[in-house]
Amino acid sequence: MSASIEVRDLTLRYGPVTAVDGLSFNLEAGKIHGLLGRNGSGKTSLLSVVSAFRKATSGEVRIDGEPVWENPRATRKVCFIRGPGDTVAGDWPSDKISDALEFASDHRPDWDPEYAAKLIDRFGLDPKAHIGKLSQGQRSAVGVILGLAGRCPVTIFDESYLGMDAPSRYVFYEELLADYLAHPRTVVLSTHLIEEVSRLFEEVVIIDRGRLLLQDKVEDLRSRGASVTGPADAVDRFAEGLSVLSSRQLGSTRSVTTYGELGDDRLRQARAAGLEIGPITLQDLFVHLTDTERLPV
Amino acid sequence: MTSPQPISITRHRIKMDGAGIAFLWVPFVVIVGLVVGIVAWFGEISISGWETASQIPRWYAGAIGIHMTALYLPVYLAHGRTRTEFLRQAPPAIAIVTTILAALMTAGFAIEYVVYRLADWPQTLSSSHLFESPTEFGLVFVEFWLAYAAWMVAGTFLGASFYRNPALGFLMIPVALVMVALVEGSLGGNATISALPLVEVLPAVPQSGTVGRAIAVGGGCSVVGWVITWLVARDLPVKTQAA
Repeated sequence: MSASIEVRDLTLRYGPVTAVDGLSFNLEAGKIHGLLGRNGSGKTSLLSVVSAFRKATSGEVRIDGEPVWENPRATRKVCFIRGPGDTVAGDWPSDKISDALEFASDHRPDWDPEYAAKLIDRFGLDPKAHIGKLSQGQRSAVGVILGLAGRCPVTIFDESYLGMDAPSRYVFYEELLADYLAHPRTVVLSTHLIEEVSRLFEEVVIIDRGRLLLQDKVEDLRSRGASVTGPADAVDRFAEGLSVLSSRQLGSTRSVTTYGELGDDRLRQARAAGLEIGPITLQDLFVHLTDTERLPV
Repeated sequence: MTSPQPISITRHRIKMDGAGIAFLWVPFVVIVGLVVGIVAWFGEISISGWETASQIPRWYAGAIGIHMTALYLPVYLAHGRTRTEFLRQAPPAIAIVTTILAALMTAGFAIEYVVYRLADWPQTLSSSHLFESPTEFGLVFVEFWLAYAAWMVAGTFLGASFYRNPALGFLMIPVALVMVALVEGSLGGNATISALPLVEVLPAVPQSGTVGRAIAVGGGCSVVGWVITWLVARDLPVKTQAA
């Protein structure tokens, strides 16, 4: 029940603005992928093409090997929940949560009504509530329910927590993980709350200004980033040949954030030189990697 | 194992719009009846009230068309349907929903015939039509069908155009007006044409009451209107909603 995503030489332009610029990558089926990028980096534009919400200017997206654009076999496998969710009919006074669920059940072949009812309960929503009267967080919860209960082979959430309070966000993360384990599928999470969500990621794609910055397993990525603290000259010697993402100094003590394989020899040298080596968070790594003034070599 | 198939868009639209029409028809009949009753109480009934009331469903048909593309098409796309599926499966739904609407409006004339006869009121038509008398139910149905289909299709390309780009939507308003005016003219519906906004700026609309010509003009305009909808919607992007 999961599907792979293949992005090839994808470009999307809005008039003179290039939102996605020749992107190519593959997302393996049956994993939770994180899509990270700064504001305006092209994440939503990329996902819009992946889900056939928009036509690519050039290049293509394939779902399980089939082109997604105007291909019902492929589009049926994709559920893209964008922000508070546009899989509901709108703000018409007559549109209730139950109408949105009925719409989804009519059009999503793998829709699970019992699970949707359970999620309604977990998010504390009233199925008879009018969508136009919901808070942004409640609308986001409706989007999340439509995404999870749709059980699509490719389920994409783009900032789907907008307006949700912390308990609701944690309900979302718990349910996503539990349902993913029970019904494996390909999940793509685009988020700015990296620390909060990163424990779910198996692989991460980082894009910047419409281009692929890196794609890696989260554990490998984390292992390549390190903070090194100690006497300034020893730290400088240690960092030679590594990409230094940031550097701070207090008196004679320097702390640098490096990116690259450290290797056992280098770690032994560091310990011998009295350097303190620590991990860095995915969020810190992301911040440094997307720092436009200090991109890694 | 193959997944179950989703409901066809044709069936879904009939379920949504057909149910809406059926739900609104009884209150509509009651309101028209009340208005006729009030007029009869204070004065004299000299014309068919249902004929006058039949203008309102034209706008309702247009609203269904707008609703179908501006509101529902993006939701279909967000639920994994394609533009091609919509553009292929919506026309049969429009035909069936129009049939339901035209049949109910024809039934309204039949009800009015019985009521007027009991009250001894003349069921006189105040405008020219394909039919000479409201009891020519076949022709009444054909006229309503052609009119409502044209209004609904005009609504679909207006809705798609406004969703795509408001400037395109405004550009399409005269196209929709010309299309509807041509169809109404072919039905002999001078009352409807004069009720259309901005219609005085249009060139004189040829009017005729012949059935063959009405079917050719009405059918042709609806087909052309759907081609415009196709051109506007075939690569319609789902817009990003404001957070």
